[in-house]
Amino acid sequence: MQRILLTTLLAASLLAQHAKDDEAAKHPFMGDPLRIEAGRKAYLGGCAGCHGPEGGGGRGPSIIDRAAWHPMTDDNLYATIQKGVGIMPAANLPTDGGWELVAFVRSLTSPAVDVKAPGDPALGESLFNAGCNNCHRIGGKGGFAGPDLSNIGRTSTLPKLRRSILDPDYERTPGFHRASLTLRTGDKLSGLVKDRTNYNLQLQLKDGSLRSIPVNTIESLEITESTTMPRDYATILSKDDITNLVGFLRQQGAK
Amino acid sequence: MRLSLFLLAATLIAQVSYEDITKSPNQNWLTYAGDYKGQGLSPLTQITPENAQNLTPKWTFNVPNAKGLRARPIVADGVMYYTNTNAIYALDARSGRRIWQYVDTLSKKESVNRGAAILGNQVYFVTADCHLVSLDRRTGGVAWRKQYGNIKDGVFCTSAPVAINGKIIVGTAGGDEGMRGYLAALDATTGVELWRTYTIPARGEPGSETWGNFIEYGGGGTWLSGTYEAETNTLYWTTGNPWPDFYGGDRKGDNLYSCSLLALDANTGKMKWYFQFTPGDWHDWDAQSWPVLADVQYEGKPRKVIFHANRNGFLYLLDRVTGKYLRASKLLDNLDWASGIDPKGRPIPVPGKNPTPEGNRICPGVRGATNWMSQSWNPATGLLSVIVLEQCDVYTSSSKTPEPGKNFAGGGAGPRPNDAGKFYMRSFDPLTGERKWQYPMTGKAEMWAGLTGTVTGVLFAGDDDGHLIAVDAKSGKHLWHYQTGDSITASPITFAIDGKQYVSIANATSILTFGLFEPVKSIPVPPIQIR
Repeated sequence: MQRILLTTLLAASLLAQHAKDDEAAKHPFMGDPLRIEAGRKAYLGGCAGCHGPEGGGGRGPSIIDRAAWHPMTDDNLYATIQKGVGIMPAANLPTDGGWELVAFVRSLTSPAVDVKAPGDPALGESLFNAGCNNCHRIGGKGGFAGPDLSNIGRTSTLPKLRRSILDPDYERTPGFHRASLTLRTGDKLSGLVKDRTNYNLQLQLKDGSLRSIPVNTIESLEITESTTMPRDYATILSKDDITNLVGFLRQQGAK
Repeated sequence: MRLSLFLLAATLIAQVSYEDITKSPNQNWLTYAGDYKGQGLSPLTQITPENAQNLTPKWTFNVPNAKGLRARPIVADGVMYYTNTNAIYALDARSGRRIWQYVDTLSKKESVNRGAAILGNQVYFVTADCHLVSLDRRTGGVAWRKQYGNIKDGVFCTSAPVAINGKIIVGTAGGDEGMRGYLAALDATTGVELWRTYTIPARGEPGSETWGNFIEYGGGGTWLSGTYEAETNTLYWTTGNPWPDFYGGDRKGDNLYSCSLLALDANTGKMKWYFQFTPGDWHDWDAQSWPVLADVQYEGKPRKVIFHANRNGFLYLLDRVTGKYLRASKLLDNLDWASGIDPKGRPIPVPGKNPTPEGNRICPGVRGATNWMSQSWNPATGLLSVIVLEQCDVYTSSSKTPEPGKNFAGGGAGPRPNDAGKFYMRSFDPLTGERKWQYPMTGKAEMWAGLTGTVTGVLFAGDDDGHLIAVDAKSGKHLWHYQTGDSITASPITFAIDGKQYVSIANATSILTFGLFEPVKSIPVPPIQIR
């Protein structure tokens, strides 16, 4: 009987999508860090002027917006780069150069776990456990002050992962503003604002427990929007440290 | 009073223990059925038959990409966990606002999902491609994702897991296309598979003599969560149809253990007893409907029993300790495939009531007299309330050689035009089978909504026109209704936060939550200092 109910759902199955992704991974340059880096250099020379230095768009469209080009196969993407489209000029690169660009563009939106990256994950893990875990959790261990990173390799891209360590103010995850509040009862509470409307506040306390607080029970509320993530990792950590840390974090994801 | 409850809430610890689940439902709703015994009766008393008319909507959460939601929420300490296909959401149960979400991008299949389970600091759900996912219930962080079934074997997964002491019990679907059904227990902490019990024996094993060809694809899905008796550590789990659904010519015999109720040792998965409702089924009458565990006075003595309203049209009373058949009665007015149940519990078939190549009108229809919709048993009134469908379908059969995994079911079934069915909410004395009252519904006979009762004598149910309704549990009298704006294919729950009682149900696309009317007082924006 279930079969009948599922027919419509199955019609919109993700299976086709998965098949597409599997095919897309076929070219040997995809996910190869050296080829991606070569592609990045070529990109900065010829593409960044319109698509932005990090792919976020400028005079031309954003290529980080996955929906814009994700339906394309790698072959389509290669052809578009080489031959151009609309006002976008043809790149006319040697074959390898073209595929290096494809590998770079793919890496901008591929889940970090699917992209090869240098770095020693074991050293990265030690570094994570030497401080990051005060605020971040992986696999049920760690603090609550920052985002749970248990699935970060699947939800973030490699460039985003690196940037969130070096420039935490660039793009902050919602739900981590700190709040101190006094209730009308006189009770004082502090925690993270998971959600706030004019009528209700969802607060996460230091032990991770969640509290729904109607706004009309609040006497006063103080919110700190700036991140508690240190902004100086670019200077206090070595390049290798960061590479190792990214190498560890990119592996964190449901399997 | 409200103040003290509020302070009490502040001291609650986030862990949900097994003992907590044995006390559910209370202000929380900690397992799919509400309680391990499947009784579907909340002890909350704020909403009564007298004030149910004052129910008003409190919030709606539109579930992303939803198309026919099947899940029932879990609520723990004011947080609601809700599943859709390959996705789970944590919501503030007071405001309906999202706290976190997890969308499983790895699943290689899509299907409906019936809900989550909770234990300790973890919340669990299954992906359509049969992975059990364990997430930190405070952050949505994935602890692990363990495979317990392979879609290449024809199985897929839809059921709400059942969390018991240290174990998560999961089921399988796929019996309409040929597969071998089983249920499995995974360690709640590590996800290691502890046991697996197949519902269809392997060739040569006891019970295999009740099959002919295709036993390897015999079906017997386990897609509805079971009930559980903590005292004896026994799981009671129903099994689905034998395959091919509508043609049994190649599998002459009883086809054990399809269309059955299994009593299993929760430590080992070993079968304590079985009871087969529909031997050698030709009508796709999975036994998926609730085995409600109850302690009653029967024939002057205390007796541990199971009530089971089956898709084949009969309401059964079984001994819970031995699986012995005690009695059965008709759920329906329109039931023509069997004249009754014999003293051993076997249906007495009426000749000529199997599917035929030309088509044969048979009652009940393929959706069954009832199905996986939730039920409610109230020991105080002695009434079991069930959603039933009076429908007759034309069943056709095909003796074509079955091909597993090719959408082949040996035939099909459905109502004739102008012969659509009709849903009723009916309350029975399950010890005598006597029908005490019924509440007829209008609609197209397309819903899958169940019901939930409270000790104050209110039954909440979805109806066949997309309303959430409240009905007087003693008389079946209408108390209140609300049009949710879409069809309903899930069952309601009730819970409380800080002493206020709420009722939630999902329609096809959203979760809606209701509570008693409170005059709106202007909410001043508190002085907020932002740094």
